[in-house]
Amino acid sequence: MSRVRSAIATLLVGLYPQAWRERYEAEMRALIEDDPPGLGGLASLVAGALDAHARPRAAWSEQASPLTRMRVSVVGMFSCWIAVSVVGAVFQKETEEGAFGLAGARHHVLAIAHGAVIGGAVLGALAIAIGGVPLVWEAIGEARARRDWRLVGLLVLPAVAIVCFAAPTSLLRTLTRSTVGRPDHMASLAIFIPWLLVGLACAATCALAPRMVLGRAEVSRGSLARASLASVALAVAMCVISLALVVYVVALASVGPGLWRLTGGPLGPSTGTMLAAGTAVAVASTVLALVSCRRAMRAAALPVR
Amino acid sequence: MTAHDDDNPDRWSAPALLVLSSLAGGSKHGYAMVADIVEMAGVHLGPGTLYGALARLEDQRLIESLPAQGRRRPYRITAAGMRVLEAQLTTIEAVARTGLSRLRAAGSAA
Repeated sequence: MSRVRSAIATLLVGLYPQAWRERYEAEMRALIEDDPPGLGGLASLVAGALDAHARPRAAWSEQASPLTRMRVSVVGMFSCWIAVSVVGAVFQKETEEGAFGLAGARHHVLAIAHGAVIGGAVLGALAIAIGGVPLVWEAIGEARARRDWRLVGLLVLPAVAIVCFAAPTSLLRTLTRSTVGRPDHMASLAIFIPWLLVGLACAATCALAPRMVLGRAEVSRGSLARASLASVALAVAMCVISLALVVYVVALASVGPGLWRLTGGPLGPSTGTMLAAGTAVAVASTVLALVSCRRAMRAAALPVR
Repeated sequence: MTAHDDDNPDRWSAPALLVLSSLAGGSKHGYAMVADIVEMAGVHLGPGTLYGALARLEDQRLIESLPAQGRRRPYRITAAGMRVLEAQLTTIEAVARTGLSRLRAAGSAA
């Protein structure tokens, strides 16, 4: 039993910030081995990890090497981008009906905001390609050189997750088109909720896998510095998307109350509610991304220790 | 205790006080501190609580880490830590003395 608790405790140490772990992980693991924690001890690890994220302290956060700080910031930016991407997908899905296109033709603010969301998405994808591809390339090279199969697994994990989400999605689309009549509400829920959970798991995997890859692979400072620079473009893209979403939601509420109240999904919330909730998530993610971007740039400017 | 209080060395949480009191008896690593605190106060600090207190106290320069011995890293109390601990314990002692005397007075009156 104590071995199980020690294993859980070791996993929970992974919840702490990277910089914290760099400073305290080895000694804390030694303590966990010497004194396997009970339930209270496990709870203290969760509370401690939350506190460390909420209040980073100079004793460990500023002692972390610039590489670690860049790595953490770049991964943080990417996680925020995944959140904004999910919101973008919801936005695209909610506004794909022809009525939104007609509304855009009549009210240019809607069309401009919609275009800005797409423009921001393109800019963000370019920034991810410029900053992320060299990192992935180096990680692949290292995985091959070290024959590190776990690293290989982590590298292919997002692709596997996307396939696991895309395959049932395209199957559902085909079935929906071919079925005569719409399924009843309960049947829709029985399909929609598992699909939604798979989608969220896919997004979480895509957000967390890079963190695990960069925690395992030794990537160069040059690639991390390039990714830090690209994170500026990514932050700009997220600002554009968030601002455009705010404008779109406000404009839709004032010029298209009928479209705002549309309910298309089986869960019930109107298009307006979904867009407003998504916009709130996008704005919060953008704020976090700006903080991460600033940290990345500061870390990139620090001398190598 | 608020976040502001937490950063104020004059108003610590119990774990920080227990850690400082333990280190006042000599430098110790994590497990030795946990064992010493159990013996001293009958309180078992979880790893998250202990390292939360250590990080806070190190940040406030009331303790400092020594070179690691294998994976275990000992800590020792600094001069500033000793001064602040003494002030805290003196306050606690005064509060305890006053509280106990009042309790006894209330007990004899009842």
